[in-house]
Amino acid sequence: MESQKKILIVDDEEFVTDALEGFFHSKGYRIFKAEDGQTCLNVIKSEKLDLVLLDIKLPKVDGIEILKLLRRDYTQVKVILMTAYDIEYKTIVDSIGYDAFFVKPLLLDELTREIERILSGEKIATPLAEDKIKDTRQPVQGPQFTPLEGTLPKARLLIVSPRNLISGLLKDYFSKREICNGIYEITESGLEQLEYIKKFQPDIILLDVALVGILGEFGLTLMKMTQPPKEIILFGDPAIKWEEAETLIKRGTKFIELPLDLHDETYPIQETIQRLNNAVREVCARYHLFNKEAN
Amino acid sequence: MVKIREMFHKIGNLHNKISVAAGISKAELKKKFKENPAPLEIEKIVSRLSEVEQTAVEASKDLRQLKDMVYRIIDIDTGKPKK
Repeated sequence: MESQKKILIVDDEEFVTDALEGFFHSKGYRIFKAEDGQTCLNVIKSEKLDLVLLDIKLPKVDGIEILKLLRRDYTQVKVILMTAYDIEYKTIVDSIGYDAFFVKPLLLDELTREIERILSGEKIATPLAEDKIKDTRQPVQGPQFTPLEGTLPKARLLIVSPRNLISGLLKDYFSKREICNGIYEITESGLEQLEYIKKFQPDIILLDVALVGILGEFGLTLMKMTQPPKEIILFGDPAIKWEEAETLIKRGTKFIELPLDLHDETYPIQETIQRLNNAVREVCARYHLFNKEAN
Repeated sequence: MVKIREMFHKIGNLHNKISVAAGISKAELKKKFKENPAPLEIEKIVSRLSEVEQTAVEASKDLRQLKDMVYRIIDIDTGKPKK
């Protein structure tokens, strides 16, 4: 007897994953489900999947990053993308590659036909991309400076992370007057907020590596800004430090390890945030973004 | 306050829930009456569920058009009219 095909259904709406789980289970598939990117990653790593039905906009880890991982390390797994964000993301996912693309709302009959077609091994309708997104941004290079004593950084600081808890912690920390006398903004996804970032004109961007897959487009936009950011500091879980992040780090971009699990004893959260603060202070010192500290 | 983008996302998800729920219900009914011909009432219900699915798709297309119109005149991050 042929073994059951394994399908992972990923959508941030539990109703949708539950409904599709029941339906496709009755069709004889073995179904796994995930409502966020981290759970999705765990299932991908632990199960030998045949197909992933993947929503692009997900909490914790972006669907685009998961798609890149699948195309890089799990090439045997078929991927059907589904999104309501057809225009914004289409160019990017086209360049990464997938087996089928659905714009929500889903029509179950069409989806079923497509899953059956793909799993039966019929020819893939959508061509896979040969070229990956390239990072075109040239990171600022310069000598290392130590923070100046008796100074207080003053910078436009942008925190970009899909993790509300982390971005909230960082904003709370950097908003303290004794830490940094600056202006702070948070966005959940750099890709969605490119126009806003152009307007905000940050001096420093603290960018979660979970979003690094957007750097191709992100970099192009940054280059077009009249006042590009002085520096990007990467932070995030080392387990999801993708190719673009590695390239940037090799080219001198600072990376601060900040795991998804904030209770991870290897990375005490306060010390991690302090390391981020040191990195921000180094940039501020390098570009003279500081005030004299009030005594 | 909920951002405009989040509202559009939420409404898009609601359309998807409607469509998926209708599709699943339709499939369940078809499965139940697979062996014997379905009563006329059931055929009508299946037909109406198909209409619900299609209506969700149409509503979603209109929503995307509306979104484009709103995005042209409103700053989606501040919620204020663009200058």
